Amino acid sequence: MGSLFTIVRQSFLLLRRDKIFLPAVVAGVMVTLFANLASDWGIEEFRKILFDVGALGFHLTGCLVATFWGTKTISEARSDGSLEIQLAAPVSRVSWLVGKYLGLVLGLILLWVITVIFWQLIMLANNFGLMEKPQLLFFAFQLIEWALVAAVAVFYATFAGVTIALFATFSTWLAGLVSFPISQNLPPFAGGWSVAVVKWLARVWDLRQFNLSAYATGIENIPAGQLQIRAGYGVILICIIITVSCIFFRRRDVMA
Amino acid sequence: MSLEMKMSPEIKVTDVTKVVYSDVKKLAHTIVKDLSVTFRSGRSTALLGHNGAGKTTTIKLILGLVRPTHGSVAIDGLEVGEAQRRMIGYMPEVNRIPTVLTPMEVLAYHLATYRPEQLRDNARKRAAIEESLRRVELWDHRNKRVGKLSKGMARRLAWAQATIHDPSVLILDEPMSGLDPTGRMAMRDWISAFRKAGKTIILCSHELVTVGELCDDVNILHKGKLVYSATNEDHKGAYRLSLSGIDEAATAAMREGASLPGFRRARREGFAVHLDFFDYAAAASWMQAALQRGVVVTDFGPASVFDEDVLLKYFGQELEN
Repeated sequence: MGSLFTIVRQSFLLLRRDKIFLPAVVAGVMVTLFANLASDWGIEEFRKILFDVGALGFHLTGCLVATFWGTKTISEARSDGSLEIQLAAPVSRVSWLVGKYLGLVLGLILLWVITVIFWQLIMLANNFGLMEKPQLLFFAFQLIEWALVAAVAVFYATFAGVTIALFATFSTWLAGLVSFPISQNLPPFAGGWSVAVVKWLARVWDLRQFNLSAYATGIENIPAGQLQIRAGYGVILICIIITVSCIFFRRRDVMA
Repeated sequence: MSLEMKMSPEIKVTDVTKVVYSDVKKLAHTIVKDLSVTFRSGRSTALLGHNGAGKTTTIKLILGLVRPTHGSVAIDGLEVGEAQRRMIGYMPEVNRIPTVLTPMEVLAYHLATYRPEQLRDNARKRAAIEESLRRVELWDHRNKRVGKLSKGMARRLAWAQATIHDPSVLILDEPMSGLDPTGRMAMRDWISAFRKAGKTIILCSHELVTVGELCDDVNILHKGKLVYSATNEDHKGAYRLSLSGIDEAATAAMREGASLPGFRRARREGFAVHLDFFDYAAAASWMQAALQRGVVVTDFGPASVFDEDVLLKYFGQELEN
């Protein structure tokens, strides 16, 4: 347990000092500022525009950072050889990988906190008052998606190089965003098995579940039970992906 | 940290073969083949070979970073696991330290993974880090990021990292690389101190002189196979004389030495001549005669563990260079 804590702490420290941390914070803040500006242009529904534009930026910033960090933490460590010295230490590979992932999640939480605080300031500046439960839940579900994308990046990075892991993570992330809309709009002539595959994918890998922007702006009402199921779905997916990553990583040779 | 005497483990590599597959065509490539080698307890052993001979893979097998396709690696009879890795200090050929961390942070992390019990005692942890950094003369740079340190400083930090937990096995891959002459002397002293403390040392180096000074045993790998293995005992009692300059007097002395009983062989190396004898008496009597002739004797002492014929066979080009 002590070793796991040490790895988490070091992973968090390395990511905090990473070159993309500050640009990510700036990007998150700029997107919120832009959303604020865009909401001013609208004649009505300031709040909706602020959330629609801001949520997209918030979503993109977090998922991109999660992808880069997830890939960097493992693939780059392997290519620059630092993985070798870290795994030569008396820590199990499972502890190491889980520690690295938890450190990465801590880094994402820090980024999340900074961006959400700025978002709150923007809301206060627009006389929207303090965030309410729907808005807070919106951001919380965004964080779950960031953590999920980070888990996917870690999974690919356990067996692929930086470029392949990045590309595969982006593709998987996009697949998760479009799987449900595609499954709903399949052409009538689509073959039986391909329909089955797309529908199955839309059921197991549907990142749309974490987008609560309609709920946050009051357009859609989602019951508490449904929210719990969605959160549970995210956590279960993260656990499955990290478990599979550990299985892959446990027996791999470390060759620089 | 103290270098007190304690039981050092023995590392045994038995019939190990390691096959890897290329990423693209999945072609099998044997890196190490039927390798059996023992790194004896409390001994300093050199692992030599050209690039690609299988040295690094052997080290990684010992560290558990690579799993053998066939065969086994055991430390004191046990398969390499977390407990075995805790005994090992490893210094890789290239610095593998994250450049955004400071020496303090690097050693704190390392100590916490190797000695987690020290996590609870901050004063003890800090004392160990301070002692280690002072030893490698990096205490004044403790809060500087590793990326800002010179190459030599980073190597010294790598040494501190490898030794801060007082390992009983030390694996050093080209420890002298990137060090200036002063740094090399210091590194030699540090390794010697570990050797005297009875630790098991595995040393990979292309610098044969350094290896000759620091190692008791030598193993040479060639294309993944062990081609030569020798220990100091094989050369016990043998003595060597080294002469400076190749002049007529030296040449005559060599001829005279060759006729004496106990003479083993002579070799020219640049401007030096080395004469090997089977025993001290023969070497001493020759030296007496040589000094009377005015020949400059630059070195006199026990012969090296290396069989130079074998070394020349595998490292001829490097020796000439």
